[in-house]
Amino acid sequence: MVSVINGSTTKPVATARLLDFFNVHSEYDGVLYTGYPVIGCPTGPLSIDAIWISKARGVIVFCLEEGRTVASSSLSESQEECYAQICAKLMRSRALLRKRKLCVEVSVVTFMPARANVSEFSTEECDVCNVDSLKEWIDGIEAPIDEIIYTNVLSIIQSVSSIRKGVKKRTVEIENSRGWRLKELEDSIANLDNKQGQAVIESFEGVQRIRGLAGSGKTVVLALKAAYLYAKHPDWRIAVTFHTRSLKGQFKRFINAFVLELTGEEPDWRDLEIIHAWGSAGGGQNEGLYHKFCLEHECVWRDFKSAEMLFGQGNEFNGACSEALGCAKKHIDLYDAILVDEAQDFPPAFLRLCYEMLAEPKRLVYAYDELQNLGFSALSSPEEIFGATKDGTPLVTLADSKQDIILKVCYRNSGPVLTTAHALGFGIYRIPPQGGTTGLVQMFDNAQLWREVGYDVERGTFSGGEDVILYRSSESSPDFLARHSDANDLIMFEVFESKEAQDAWVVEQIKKNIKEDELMPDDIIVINPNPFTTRVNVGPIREKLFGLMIPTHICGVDTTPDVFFDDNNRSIAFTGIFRAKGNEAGMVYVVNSEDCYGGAYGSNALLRNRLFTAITRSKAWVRVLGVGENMRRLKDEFEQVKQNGFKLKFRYPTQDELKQIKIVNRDMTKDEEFEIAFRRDQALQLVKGLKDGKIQKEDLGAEMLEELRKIFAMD
Amino acid sequence: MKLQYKLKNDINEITSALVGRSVIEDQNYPYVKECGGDSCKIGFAGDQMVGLGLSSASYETIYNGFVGGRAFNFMMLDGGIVQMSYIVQGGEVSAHRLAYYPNPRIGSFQEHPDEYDRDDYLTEINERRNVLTLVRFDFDASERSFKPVLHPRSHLTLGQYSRCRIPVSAPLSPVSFVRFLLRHFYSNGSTDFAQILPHGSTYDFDRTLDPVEAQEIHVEVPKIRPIDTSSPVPCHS
Repeated sequence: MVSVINGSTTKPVATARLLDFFNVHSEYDGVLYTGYPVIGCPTGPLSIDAIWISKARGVIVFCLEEGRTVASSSLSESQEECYAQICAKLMRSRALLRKRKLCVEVSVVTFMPARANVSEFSTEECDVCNVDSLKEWIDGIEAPIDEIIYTNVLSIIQSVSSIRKGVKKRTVEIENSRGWRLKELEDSIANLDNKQGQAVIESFEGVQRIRGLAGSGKTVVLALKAAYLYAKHPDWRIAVTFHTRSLKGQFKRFINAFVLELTGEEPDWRDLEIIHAWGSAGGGQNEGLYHKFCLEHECVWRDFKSAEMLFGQGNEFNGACSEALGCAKKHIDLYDAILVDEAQDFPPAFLRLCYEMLAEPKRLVYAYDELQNLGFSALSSPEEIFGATKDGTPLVTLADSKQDIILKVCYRNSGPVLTTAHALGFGIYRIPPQGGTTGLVQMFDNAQLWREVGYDVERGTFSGGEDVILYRSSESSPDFLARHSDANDLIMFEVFESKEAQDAWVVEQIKKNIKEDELMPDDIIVINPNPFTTRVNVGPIREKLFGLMIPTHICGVDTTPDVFFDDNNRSIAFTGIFRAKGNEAGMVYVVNSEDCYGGAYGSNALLRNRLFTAITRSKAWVRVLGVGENMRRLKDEFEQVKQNGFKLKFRYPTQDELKQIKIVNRDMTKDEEFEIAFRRDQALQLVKGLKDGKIQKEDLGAEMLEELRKIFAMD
Repeated sequence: MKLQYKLKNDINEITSALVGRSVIEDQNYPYVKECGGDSCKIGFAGDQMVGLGLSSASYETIYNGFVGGRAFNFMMLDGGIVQMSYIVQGGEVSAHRLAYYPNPRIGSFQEHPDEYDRDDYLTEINERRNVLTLVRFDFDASERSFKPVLHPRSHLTLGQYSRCRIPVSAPLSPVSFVRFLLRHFYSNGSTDFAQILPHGSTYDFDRTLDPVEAQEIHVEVPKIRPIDTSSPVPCHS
């Protein structure tokens, strides 16, 4: 059976007939791409309608014709062009050349299913088939290739782009210095893997969801997808949006490079907008989807301050988007495709807003990571996000597997680093709070997700009350990410007696990194996870480094105009957790991590998520630092991870425990936390009074007792 | 210590203090360059770009240009940039250019102190309700451009009014200038950032105000006095 990857097509009828053909004729194998690849030529992008790669018949290119008739000269012209471009693409790889000739045969045929009689179009130079004649034509091709060549061909066709991640120039002289090791890492991560390639190409005429864990390449995939759609559909209006403002520069760089590669030209930014989500007046780089929506629909636009006042703290964007949706009187098509990164950081109302801005068939692609949401509760299902029509049918379901893509290979963090991040993020080794039966602060609703984020079960099962041991396979965490350093060097936790001691240690380490380890300043990031204390905390460290002539900066307001910074502006980034996501670096210092330990209750999931996000910024090494007792507890959790060989060993929670975990550790505002503390105290007083005999339960009165009984009746 | 190095040290110390309190996001080191004769320049990386400020380009273009080229001594937490350069000739300050360019796009620190203090990532989403003001203190001891009242030796320009030259009584030291900025443009009502500044060196600048200018509204720069710890009144510096 042929595996099919459906790209975006402008010839739906012929494509469908071709797919039917391969569905029926299951004796063929190999891989079939439709609507892909797109090859940049001097005359503009060339879109290949379909290409089939198989071991028995090499490469077969299909030129599709929707209609019943076409000029025969243009037939042979398109065939010639496709052939030339595909061969050129293949020839770029030396692995496919033998004695200066391509060692895989490329055949081309025009497929015209609408025409009953194609023989009059077929000529010496140009084969034309319809459904009836295709099988015979295919069977006539004898062009077997061996396994290695087949894999190579697939890899070249599949590699949407060979953009290297690091464009940094790095001079390293000392063998095996940190700088040297980073250079090796950067050189290894060059091409996309199969799943990423599929995520880019696989198109669906509707909503598509891409789930991936931290470091799985979601941003690159989304950028490539945008470039691919733009290259295929120059008439579409496409928008790419994201939550972390500093991602804008990254998207611009990637998309610019990809479009250049796919079409031979730079994109027209009016048709391919890289745009903020909220946006404000003033146009240009301030523009945002929400702001645009308000303008088009003539609704009131709210800025952050007014939204906070109107809708409450923590509910600003949600309220603003909901209000705008409510106010819109009719539907206006604003975009043909919208791609949303970091969807987990947006309220569902924003995704609904995007949905509303789209023309049919509502091509909305949203990418997200379960554990990285820094403000909102885990992203709901599409049924919950998009709601239902009047008769109750959900507007969006992800029924087709093409609609729901999961990227489970992490290319940024090594196995030990990522496992540690997950262990702390979930509270796997956390000491249960007093009276609690489990230390977990959050857990996947669906245990299947563990596999989907790349964990295999070593022992046990996901049944409530049962022990289970999980580990990351080398498939989901490639070895080369961890090989370069000892596990104890990859990730370190340090407890300090005082903040001054911590700061002094960081300064010393950074000095060593720059002066001895051959690291560049922009190889280092320092993250302070608590947004309320970032400025206060990082000041002293930066001051000392300033004195040592080591350049640093704080990731603050977005002042960069749309220019690309060159290599000369290398400086150590100090950042709070919100802006950390636009960054990644070889060496990450997480300072004052004690703020992420959490308490018996209150926003624990959120705090642990911040620690997760901070740790997963690292491409190689992490130092998690902090002060005091809570930091010691965090370190203890980490020691357990190490002792268990960087595996997650825990008792899977029961249904009741799952419920409990969710409620106790949910996101709370400061007011709610205060309220809870206050009421708990009052309850404590009541219990104490009853126990001491100061009051009798009958004193509470029959009505009150009945109320209490009802509330506390356990199920 | 030679004057130019006093100035450079002061700028370094100011930068260091402001970095320590996270009032500035990004910074450069000042340099001293001998310019032939007995004159030298104290400047900052990218200062060859300052001519951009006098061009007829829009403010946003000018600001973006400076930011893109990192042409500043430092950038404040709300994006405002500070540029300081001095020319020293014959052991005296013969010229200076002390400029402040606010961020045209985002609400200033004074408008939203809370959001800036807590590193709120949504600070950018705000309506800029206030008017921007550039502030520039220029000084030129030479007679070349001097015209009483019309072009005082030391003058203050507000905004982009090219003929706004408010007479100032004397050149400013780096600490005087930054203190002025912090006090009037970066106060959040509770923290006085001006207090975190170092005292800086003592300078003996001559009064350069022309008697005719003294008849008009002008800015008086107090003479630097050494610290008098017995006095309860905060010292000018």
